[in-house]
Amino acid sequence: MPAALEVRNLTKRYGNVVGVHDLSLDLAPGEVLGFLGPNGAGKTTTIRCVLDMIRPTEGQVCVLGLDAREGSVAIKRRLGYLPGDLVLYERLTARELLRYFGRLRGGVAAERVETLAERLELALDRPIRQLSSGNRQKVGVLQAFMHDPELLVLDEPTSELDPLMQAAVHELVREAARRGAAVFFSSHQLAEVERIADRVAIIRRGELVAVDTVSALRARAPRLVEVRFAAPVDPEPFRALAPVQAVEGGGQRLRFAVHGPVDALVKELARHEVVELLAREPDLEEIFMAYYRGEGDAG
Amino acid sequence: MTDIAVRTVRDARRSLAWWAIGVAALVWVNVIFYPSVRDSPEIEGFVEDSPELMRALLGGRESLDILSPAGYLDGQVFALLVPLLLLIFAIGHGAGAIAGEEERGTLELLLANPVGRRRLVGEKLLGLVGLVAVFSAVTWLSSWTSGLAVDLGVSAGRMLAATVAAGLLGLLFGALALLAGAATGRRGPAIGVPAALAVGAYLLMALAPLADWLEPWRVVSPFYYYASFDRLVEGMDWGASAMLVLVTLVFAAAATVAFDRRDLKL
Repeated sequence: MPAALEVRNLTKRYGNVVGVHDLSLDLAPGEVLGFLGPNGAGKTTTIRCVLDMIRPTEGQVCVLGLDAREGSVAIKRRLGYLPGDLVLYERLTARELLRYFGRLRGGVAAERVETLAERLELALDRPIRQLSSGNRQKVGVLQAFMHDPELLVLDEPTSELDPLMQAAVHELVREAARRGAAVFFSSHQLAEVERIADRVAIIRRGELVAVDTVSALRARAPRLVEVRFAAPVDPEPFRALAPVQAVEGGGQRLRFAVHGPVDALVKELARHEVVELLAREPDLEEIFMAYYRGEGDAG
Repeated sequence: MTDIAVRTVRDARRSLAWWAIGVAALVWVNVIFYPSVRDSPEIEGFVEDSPELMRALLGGRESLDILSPAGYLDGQVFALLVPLLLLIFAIGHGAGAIAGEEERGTLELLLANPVGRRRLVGEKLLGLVGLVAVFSAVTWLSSWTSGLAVDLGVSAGRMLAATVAAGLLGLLFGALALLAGAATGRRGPAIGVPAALAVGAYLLMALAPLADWLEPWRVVSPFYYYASFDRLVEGMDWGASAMLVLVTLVFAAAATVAFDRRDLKL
């Protein structure tokens, strides 16, 4: 079975501005990949290359086994897309819009639309211009899911949604993955990614800095050790230790980021009177922030 | 494969209704004054005394008897009024077809459906043809009915020939707006480029009889193939119609290529 999505060395430049640089990633059928990064990091640029809205400066994008440009129409038949900047036809009702898009797709089962609308608690017969931003987002979600696509590309799908509806969308994503669909979704909410993604791709300033499962990212990340001493301690000797990547704080409290065996640190600590010692795994947010400071791949 | 074209026409129905009311009213108001203008003794002298340049700009020509039924209908309705309204209408909708959707942002979701860019241009052109056809039909109907009301004496067929020519002229500039919009993704140039070229083409056609060096260049003006007075007198000119259609198709083909090659501005 071909990969649902295969991006090879994708580079997109706008004049001299680099949107995405040398980005490669794969997505298998049935897999949920969270695409994580702040606004402006290149998430939407990558997604728009997948959709053939914009063309790569360099590199290839293959979607469902087809070239993103050559096979664009065939790809979009099997793909559901929710744009990050969702703009709908204001004068239509949700039902009219979904019927229009359904016709462009060669027909979509009306019951499927009704079921989804019920689950998302969306009133279909009001003009879109009267809908709240949350309800507009639901229309966007609905049109992406209504034809049960093999690949879902969702750009910040749960922004604008309340927690209850976020959960409803997460459930739709899980269901889609269970029936074999691949899901590529971008987000800047770590908790969300952690909850539903099998793997996470972290993008920073147009470059992919990590792609892995959440647990592997965590295993690879430095441990955090917090120490409280009985008396102020000079942090300098600790900085020289091989496993210590960073030292923060001062006086009686020091915090260390440690990668690898902690033996050297423990022996150095033993030269002082230690009141309290706390070691823990970083949470995804700290891992993410570490990648964002450019420290994540230091070890 | 006409869903987008149908949607385009349906979305424009309110605008179309207002335009239809406007053009019908203007045609009626102009035509129903024919008897009083014809019977007024001062008018002939006024026409003869008016400067040549002014007569040229108002669509007159040396041989034109402005008080004949065809001459009056042409001078008051078809020479300037109808093409002006049709061009504004067609350029507006041609610019909205792609550049409008792109600027608003609805294009991204529309193109997330299994619709190729070429098909989109084709369907948008088809929608434009539909809109211009309705506009032209209203123009013809109001000319015909108002003509009947004052016993004008220009046949419905001749009026149809002039209306078809006007529709094709509007379509040509509408397709140019579609092309400029497809190439740039912006409504500004999509309206500005065809509007400026239309004014230039009109002036070229109107002023050519006054300057010998301009005379041979008339053939590059689409208005040369419009020649509404000839249509009202002689009926359809298939060659001129074919020329307008041909240029429209060239614009549409260029729009397809330009739109297919570029990044969307989202």
